[in-house]
Amino acid sequence: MSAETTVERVRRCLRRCAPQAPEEALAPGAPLFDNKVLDSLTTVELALLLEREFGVRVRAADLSRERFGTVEAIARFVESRARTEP
Amino acid sequence: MISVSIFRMFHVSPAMLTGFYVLLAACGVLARTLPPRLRRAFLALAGLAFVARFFSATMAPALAALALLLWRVCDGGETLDARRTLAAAAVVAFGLGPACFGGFFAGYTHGHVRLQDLLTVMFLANMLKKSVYYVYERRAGRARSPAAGDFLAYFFALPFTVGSVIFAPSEAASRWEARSRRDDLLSGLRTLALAALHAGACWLLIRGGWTRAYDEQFLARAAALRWWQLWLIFVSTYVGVYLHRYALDQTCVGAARLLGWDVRGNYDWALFPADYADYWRRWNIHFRELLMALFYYPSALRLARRRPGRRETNLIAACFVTFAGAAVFNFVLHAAFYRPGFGAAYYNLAVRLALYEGFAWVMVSAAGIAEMRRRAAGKPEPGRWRRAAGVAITLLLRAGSVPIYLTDVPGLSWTVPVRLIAAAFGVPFRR
Repeated sequence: MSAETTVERVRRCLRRCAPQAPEEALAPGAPLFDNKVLDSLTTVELALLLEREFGVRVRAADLSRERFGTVEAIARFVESRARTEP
Repeated sequence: MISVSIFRMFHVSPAMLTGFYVLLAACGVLARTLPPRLRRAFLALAGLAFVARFFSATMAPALAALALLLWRVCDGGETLDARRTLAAAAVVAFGLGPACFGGFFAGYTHGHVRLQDLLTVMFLANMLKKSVYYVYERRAGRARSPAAGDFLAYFFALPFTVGSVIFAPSEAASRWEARSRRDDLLSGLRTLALAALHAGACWLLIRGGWTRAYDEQFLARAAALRWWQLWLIFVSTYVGVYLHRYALDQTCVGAARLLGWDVRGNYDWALFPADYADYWRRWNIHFRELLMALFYYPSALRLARRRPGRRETNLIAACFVTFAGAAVFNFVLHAAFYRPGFGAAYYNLAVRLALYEGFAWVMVSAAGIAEMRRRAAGKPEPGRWRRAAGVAITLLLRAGSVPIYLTDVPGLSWTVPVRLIAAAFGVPFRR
């Protein structure tokens, strides 16, 4: 799976769980928690959407700023998880 | 004259704060001349020097034992035998700790709580919270086994001897010297200046113009106070608590930034949240993140997978687990570091924590459900006036829970805080 495709798919998931987020807040490097795109409600929703979209298992310990802080970070995370969980 | 404070805790120790700032300035200069690998160890030594100067001498053996236990916990976090570690932690926390510290803390030998006593409690409580964080992150694969310098810096570095900032070990490692020294210096100085302003405002609010009020005096007069006078007291006490906590925690954050850690702030305009859930997001952010990691996300994810259609009850249940976890954390920490059994008996600690965390659980769940419904209906964010109303209501809710923290009255019934809150709504109060 290419990195660009993953980023787009992650953004699609984000648009579904945070439909009111402005487009610039979903830029690949934009901080999702600081921009209030993700909070405790949307983070859990996003985790479930990612599980369905990418077929990976998201653990509670994965829901950190390092792994879920930006669209890019999430894309990297699901790609690495998809590699280790074929 | 009506006092605006019902707490005794705001007695700043000028000697301690001056000592901290002098040591901080000296370290700020010296640390820059050292090679990078020695810098963090040096800051840890400075922290220990500060602890040795201001904390009780009887703390030394307990502190050494605690440090050894923490080292074991952090080093072997991935493969730790949980039962043996818990047993060792219980011996240190409930046995050795109170034996060395008992009676010294919280100022009951002084007649009122002094800042340096409060700091000692906070410092030790933070060490325990940090060790939990370390084990959690090691098991989750987010933190590596620490080098000695990293370990000492995380637990003992000078900035972390004040305030209650307990950021994640992975964050501590990734944010060390992440920015230029000039940026760190400017950001640190700005944060310290803001913290000093808050400390000054707190001092003015608590001491300037009003007599110092203690809980006993307040309770003796409470029956004669009108409802609006009670609200004035509750609101100003809450603002005082905020100013006090912000000043201490942001002093820690500013000092950390000054010395090379780009630590995130622990408060985000916490006096002006739009609702109770927003308040919880903005107050004591670092501890909240630990609670979220330990309690909220695991339960929320599990429930969402099992019962995807019951979003609102899932939220209520996940919030319950989170605030129950917070209550257990606080109970252990309070009971461990006052005296064995002392905290529970003297303060009605269990009931007070249950009341306080129970109130927060109901409020945060309600605000979360309202937010969930608003989003589901596709309604826009609240406008300016609605937001202002939300800020005012949240302030009153926060202030209304202040009487739960009436602490310094021996034998105080748990119903007294509840009846005080009722008195603020016009129900006659009788001690």
